Amino acid sequence: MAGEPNSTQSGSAIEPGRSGKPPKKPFRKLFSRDELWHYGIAAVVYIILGLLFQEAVLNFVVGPLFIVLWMWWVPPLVDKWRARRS
Amino acid sequence: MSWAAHELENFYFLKHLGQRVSYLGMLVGALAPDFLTKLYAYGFSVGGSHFQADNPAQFHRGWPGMGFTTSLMAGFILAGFIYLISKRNKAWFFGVLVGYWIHVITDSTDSAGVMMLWPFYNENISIGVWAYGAGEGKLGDAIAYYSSLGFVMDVAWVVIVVVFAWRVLSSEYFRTVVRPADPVWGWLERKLAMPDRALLAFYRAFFFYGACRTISWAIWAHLIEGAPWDLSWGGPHWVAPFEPW
Repeated sequence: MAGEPNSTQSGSAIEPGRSGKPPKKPFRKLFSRDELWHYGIAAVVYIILGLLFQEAVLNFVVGPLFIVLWMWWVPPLVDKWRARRS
Repeated sequence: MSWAAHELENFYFLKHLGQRVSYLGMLVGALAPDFLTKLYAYGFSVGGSHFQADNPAQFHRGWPGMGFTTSLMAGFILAGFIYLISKRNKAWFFGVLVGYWIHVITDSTDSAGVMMLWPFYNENISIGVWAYGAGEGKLGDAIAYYSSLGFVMDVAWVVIVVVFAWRVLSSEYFRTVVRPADPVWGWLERKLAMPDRALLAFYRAFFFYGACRTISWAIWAHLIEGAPWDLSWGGPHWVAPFEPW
C-alpha cells in the first residue's frame, strides 16, 4: 500500500475525465448481460445456502469469498460448456 | 448493532470521494470497530463451555469495556497507524478514517449507542431506532434486527446504492477510479494470480454479501422461524430493554 495513487496501474485503456471520474455511460454499456447473469445466479445460490446453513455461510469471510471464487471459476466453466455445445 | 449497512454504505460514499480514498481502506475501517468485540458480545462455545460477556452491551459499547473501540477517536488512531505503516498513503488514511467513522455513526442508531466522542465525553450517544440485541446471541440478534427498523435501514442502503450510486459498481469505475487510487489491487492481482473478473468480484464482494445476507436473514427470520415484524421506534418489543451500566 506504499506510495501515492498511481494512475498508470489502472490496467485499462479507459481514462477518467478531468474531474477524476469516468465519463457517464448508460447501464447497458457498463454491465454486460453475461455478467449480470453470473452475479444473479450466484446471489440466488448464496441466499439459498444462507437459508440452509445461516451462520456458517452468512458471515464476512464466506460471503465475499463465495462471490470471488464463483466469478473466478464459474464463467470459464460456462464458456467451456458453451464451446463444447457449439 | 447494524448488520449489512456497514458493508453497503461505503459504496455510496465512494461515489462522492472517488480517488481521494482507498476503497480497501474504507473496508478495513468499516470492519475494524467490531473486530475484537463482536464474538465475545454474541458468545461462543469451545469444548462444551460457553463464553459470553455478562453484559454484552457494556462490553461492546461501554466503559468499563471495549466501548472506546466504537468512537471517532479510535478511527483516527487506526487511520494514523495505517498512514504510518503505509509510508504515508493519504488514500488509505482517509479511507480507513471515513469507513470507521461511518460505522461509528451508523451504530449510534441502536439503543445501546456508542462512545462517539471518547475520550472527551464518555457517555453513549444513541438515537435508539432499534433495540441492541447482541445479548440474544447471533441468531437471536439476526431475528431481532431483521424484524425491526434495522431491516428497513439495510434495505434502504441497498436501494440507495443501486439507484444513486450504481455506476460505482461498474468495472469501468473500478478500473478508472478505485484501482488507480490504491496499489494494493495490483499487489493482490500479482500475488494471487487473480484474473480481472475475480479482482472485480472482490471489489463488489461486500455489496453482494450485504445485499444477499439482508435477503437471506430476513427470509430465514420471518418465513422459517416465523418471527413477527415490529417496525416501531426502538423495537422489537421482545428484546430486553437496554439498561445503562
